[in-house]
Amino acid sequence: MKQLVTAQVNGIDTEMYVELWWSLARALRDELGLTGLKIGCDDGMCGWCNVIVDGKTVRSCLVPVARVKNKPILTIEGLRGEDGELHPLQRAFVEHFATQCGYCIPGMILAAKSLVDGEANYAEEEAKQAISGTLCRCTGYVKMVEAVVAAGQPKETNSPSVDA
Amino acid sequence: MQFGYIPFEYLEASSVEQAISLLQQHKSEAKILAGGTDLLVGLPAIRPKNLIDISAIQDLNYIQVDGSVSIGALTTIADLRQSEALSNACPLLSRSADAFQPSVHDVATIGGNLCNGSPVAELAPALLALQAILRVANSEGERLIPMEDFFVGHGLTALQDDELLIEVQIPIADGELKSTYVRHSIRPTIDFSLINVAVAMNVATGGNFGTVRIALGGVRSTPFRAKSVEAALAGRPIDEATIEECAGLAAEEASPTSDRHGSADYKTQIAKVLIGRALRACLAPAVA
Repeated sequence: MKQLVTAQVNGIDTEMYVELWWSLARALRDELGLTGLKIGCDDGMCGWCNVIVDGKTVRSCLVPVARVKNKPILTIEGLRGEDGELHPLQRAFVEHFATQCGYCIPGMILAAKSLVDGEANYAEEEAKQAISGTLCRCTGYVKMVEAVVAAGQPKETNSPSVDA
Repeated sequence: MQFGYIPFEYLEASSVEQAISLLQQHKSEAKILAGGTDLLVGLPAIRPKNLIDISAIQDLNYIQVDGSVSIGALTTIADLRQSEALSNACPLLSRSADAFQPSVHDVATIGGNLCNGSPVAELAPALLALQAILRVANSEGERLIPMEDFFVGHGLTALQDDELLIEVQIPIADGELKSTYVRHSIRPTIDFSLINVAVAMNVATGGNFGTVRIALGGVRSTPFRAKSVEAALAGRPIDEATIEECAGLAAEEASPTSDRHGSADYKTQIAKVLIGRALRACLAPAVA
C-alpha cells in the first residue's frame, strides 16, 4: 500500500506517494520525475545515483525511502542557484569539457560537491579522492579532476562566461 | 530486479526490545536492516518477507574507551575512522575501517559488517586478532559470543532468529601490541577485499616473536585465526626466514574457492604474500 512520505527536495516540501519498500532513487526518479540521478549498477558501486541527504552524499539506490522522512534532499536538479547561476562545479565541468555521454555527471558532481564547498584549499590528490567512488566509462577522469580542482579556485574575472 | 523493485514489508523498530519482539514474531522471515549497504545489494538473492529497520534505535552508536573498548553495533564506519580515542586504543580496527569505500562511510555499521557473515568482512580480521567479544540481546536477555565462535559459515553467524547484535567489546592488551591490517582487492577503493589479513603481536623480551595472532579472510568460508601459523611463530627469532616459512604455512591453512575474483592458487599465493607483509609491517620500527 502506498503511503505519503514528506521530505524537502531541493528546498521544496514535497510529498511522495510511495511504497515503503522503494529505494530513494526510485522515488526521486519514478515518483518525482527527477531523472538526473541514474541507476547504473546493482550494488551501490558506480555512484551514478548519488544524492545529498541531510548534508551527506549517499547512494540513493540503497536508501530506503522511509528513511528520508522530513529530511533535506539535494539532487543535481537543485544545484543551481536560485537565479539560475551554475554551481562552480557545473561551470568547471562545462569549461573543462569534462563530460562525454553525461550519464555519470550528476553523481560525479555531487560526489565532489562537499570538497568544493568546503573550507580547505585542495589540489589534485583531494580532487581524485573525492571522485574516486564514482565510475565514468567515457572520459578517463583527467578532465574531471581538472574541473574539480578548477572549481575550487577563485573565479578569474576574464574567464569566458557560461550561460546556464 | 534490485532493491526498490522488490516488495517486502518494511517495519521499523525504535528500541532493542521492539526489534527483538519483531524478530520473535517473524522469525526467519525477517532480516535486520541497519546501513543496508550489504543487505539491500543482496536483496534479489535474499528476498526477505520483512525488513526491520533499526537505524533509528538510539544509544547503539557509541565508542567508549576505558580499560577496554566498547562499540555500539550501529556505530558507522565514519565514526570508527574519526574517533581519536579508538585510533589510540585500537589502531588495528581504525585502519580496517579505512578500507571501506568512502560512499558507505556514513551509512555502513560495524554490526552490519559482522552480521552479514561475509568471508571477507572488512572488520572481522581485526576483531578476531583482538579477541573481541560480541554482546547480543535476545528475548531472554543477553549473551556474549567470542569472535572466534561468531562466524559459522559463508553468510552465516551464530545469531539465533530472535537475536540482535548490540555491542562489540575489545579487551585492551597489557603491554605494547604491534598490529597491522593489510588487504588486497582488484580495485583499491571500490571493491570488497579479495584477501584480508590482520596481525596483532608482541615481541618477547629476548627479541623473538612473542604472542602472535593472525586472522585471515577470503581463503575459507569464514574469516578465521590462522592458529598453526601463530603457533609456528611463537618464540621463534624474528628474521626473514621465519617469516617466509610461517607465511608459507598459511597456504596449508587456506582452502579458498576459485571464483570470478581469482583462482584458488592465486588467492592462496596472495594470502601468503599478505601475511609476510603484515608481519614485516608490524616489526618495522615506525609502525605501531
